[in-house]
Amino acid sequence: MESRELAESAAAAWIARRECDDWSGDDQIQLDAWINASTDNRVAWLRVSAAWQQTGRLRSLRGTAGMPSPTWSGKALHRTHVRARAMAGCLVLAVAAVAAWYLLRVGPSYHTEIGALQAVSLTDGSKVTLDTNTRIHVDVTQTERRVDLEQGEAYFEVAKDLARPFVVIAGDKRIVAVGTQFSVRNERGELRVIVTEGSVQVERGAGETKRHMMRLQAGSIARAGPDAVLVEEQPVSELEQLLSWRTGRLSFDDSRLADAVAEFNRYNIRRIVIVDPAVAAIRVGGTFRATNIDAFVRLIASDFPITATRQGQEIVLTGKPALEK
Amino acid sequence: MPGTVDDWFVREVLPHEGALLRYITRVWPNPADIQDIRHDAYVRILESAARLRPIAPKSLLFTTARNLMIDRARRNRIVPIDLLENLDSLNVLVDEVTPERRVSIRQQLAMVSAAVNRLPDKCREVLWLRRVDDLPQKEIAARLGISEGTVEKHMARAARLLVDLISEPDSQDSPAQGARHTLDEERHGK
Repeated sequence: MESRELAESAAAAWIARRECDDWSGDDQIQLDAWINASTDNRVAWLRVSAAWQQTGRLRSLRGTAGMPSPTWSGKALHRTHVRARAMAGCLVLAVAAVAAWYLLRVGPSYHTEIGALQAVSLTDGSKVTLDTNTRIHVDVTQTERRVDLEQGEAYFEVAKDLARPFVVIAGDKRIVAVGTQFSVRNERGELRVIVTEGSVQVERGAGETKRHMMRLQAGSIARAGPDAVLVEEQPVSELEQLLSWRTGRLSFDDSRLADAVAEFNRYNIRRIVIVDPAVAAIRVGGTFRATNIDAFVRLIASDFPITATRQGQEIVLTGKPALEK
Repeated sequence: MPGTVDDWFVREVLPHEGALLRYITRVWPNPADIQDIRHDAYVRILESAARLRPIAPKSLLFTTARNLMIDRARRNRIVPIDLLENLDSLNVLVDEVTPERRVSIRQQLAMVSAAVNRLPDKCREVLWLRRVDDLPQKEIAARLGISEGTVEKHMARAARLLVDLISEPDSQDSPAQGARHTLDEERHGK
């Protein structure tokens, strides 16, 4: 809820103001009034000020670490090297494991680069549309049509074939369809299934431990974490908006800017970064080309009190002073 | 006696934040709601503690979060499938995710300095000069060659970011650590 974000930002602003040289009794009265105005404010204040209080412990590092930046970033860099080496080791193992696994498989694999879109026709007549940065592996046999969605999002238009179920595997979940249209996203541990026609069945695990979880009808959107699945019912027309990527477009309707930016970042190597929670909470709408990040940023910066700063591959959005007050 | 309830809250409730966030993250599929659920649980606890101080704050905190998640699932007309089943295993989870050991002063120091380390450079410098070197705002501004208003802005941003960095489940040794750290450190390295 925005009330929480606003209260937390305000609490942080109060902390900063209290550290100022000209903090007065009057200011204190105003702060107390703000804290007493709502429990939202009080909770935010207690939490932010307790964290701030804890930084006092850093005084014990005084003298040993001295001034912050040079020593500190030095340490951070050193740690990075150690960890980088450890990670390189893990990577070698991971690559070996993946390579071994690929050699054992037979069917074709497809993958798209960031910002790309690709439609693939399968031998059974089904059609798969791959979204940005997506990797699938296809195995069509006499008894089963199987797609491993290793990463990203894909939209499936499944040809009817009662004898061979169409199974999409994403993480530990299986989405089983007969003849239907649906989309599956498997990214950073988040699984999202959207059904626009017919119905699909979601199962967890495989073989012995396989367990039926639920049936999703057209108009359903399901989000699954490691242990739970939530299902929302929405008109198919609204779900189509979530699938507008199939035409290379992203469409938003009263979405939080933070969510819109997260979507854009999936399609672009350059990334938009928001630090300010007040900016993140702004509501935006409209339809944009997924790969035209500049047009999006230009519009945002002209319609809202936001400044866009380019730093290498990052575009940082910050609020203009008017917004922060 | 509002002051004493506040002290109680800081002493008995806030230290469980890391465990609470891990619990919510585990059972609630939509990451965007986690901080809101955490905040709403705090609001309820603080309001009820103002009337009567609970005997077992930790289990009340987890139960409150659980009830809020059930309410939220109903209100959003979301059909919970495994959610309720998961929430029922609450007792097991509390024991599992909340280590009873008291965090030593040294560990606390390590947590805070790890969190401060992950702040953006300017925020970290300003925080350090103010909180550790105890310099007045004017002098911080002079040293860094920025205005006093900018010092205040960096400080506010530091305070805002810090609170989430300290309690972030990722900042502890948890399996979910990898990705975010890597990103941060790539930035450091440049």
